[in-house]
Amino acid sequence: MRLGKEQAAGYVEDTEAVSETDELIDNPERTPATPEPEPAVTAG
Amino acid sequence: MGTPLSRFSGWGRAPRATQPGGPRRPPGGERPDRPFTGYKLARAVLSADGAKTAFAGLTLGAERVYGVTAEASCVWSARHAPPRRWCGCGFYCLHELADAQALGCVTENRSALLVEVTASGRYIRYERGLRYSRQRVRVIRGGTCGCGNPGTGLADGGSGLVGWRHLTPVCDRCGAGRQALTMSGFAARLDGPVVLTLPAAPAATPAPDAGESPFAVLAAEIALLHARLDDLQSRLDH
Repeated sequence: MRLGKEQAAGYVEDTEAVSETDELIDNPERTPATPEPEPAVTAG
Repeated sequence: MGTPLSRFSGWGRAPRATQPGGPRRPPGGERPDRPFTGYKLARAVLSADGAKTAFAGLTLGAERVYGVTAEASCVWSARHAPPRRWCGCGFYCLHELADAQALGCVTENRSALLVEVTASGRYIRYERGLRYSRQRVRVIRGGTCGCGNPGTGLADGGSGLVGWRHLTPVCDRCGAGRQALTMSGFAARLDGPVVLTLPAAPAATPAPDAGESPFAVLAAEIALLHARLDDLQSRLDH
């Protein structure tokens, strides 16, 4: 594929993509990322 | 064209937002706020078990299958990240839809789908398009049946890759009696969401007059040619 003369180079983020993380943010039924704290166990 | 890698296991690494140590960006390059929209051609493929669909490139990337979101890698050297300036690697797309449509007229591209993509990551911008590292297929704009009508489905194209069959667009008439996926069926089997924007079917053209035999038409054309030759001969004689 012929694209013609080079004009510039750079870097750009895909800001329009909906990531899986974004989809989870507003989901009230999502699994909590941090489990409930468990009671401390005393060793010995 | 570089080798696109997709989410499919066994076909390459999953795309990721950054490289180890941060994204490898060209020094002193542009930093646009929004990714680019581009247009390109891709072959539709169907997995051997019929459960998944994907895309394949047309030229250098023809041997690789990629999904809705994919990251390019160089087929020649794993030591550099596409697109490298003096290498041909990376995804390609065109800025203008009309340019992509024109490319679809080329004989070997006739069975390709026209797709609209979001191009991001590292890129080199050219007059007519981009070479870039990350791609998200956003819209499928359809393909053309071998008869010239817009494709309404995708049938086995008679070729393929290991684990994948090439599909070719077919219209309702040409696809009758053939196993074919609808365009929406193809989109539903992809590994991510895409929008279908298919061209409207052409207005029905009147059927040729059944009483007008092709031989009669040919005979009339020959008679006309003879008449013109006679006219030319008479002018030369004078």
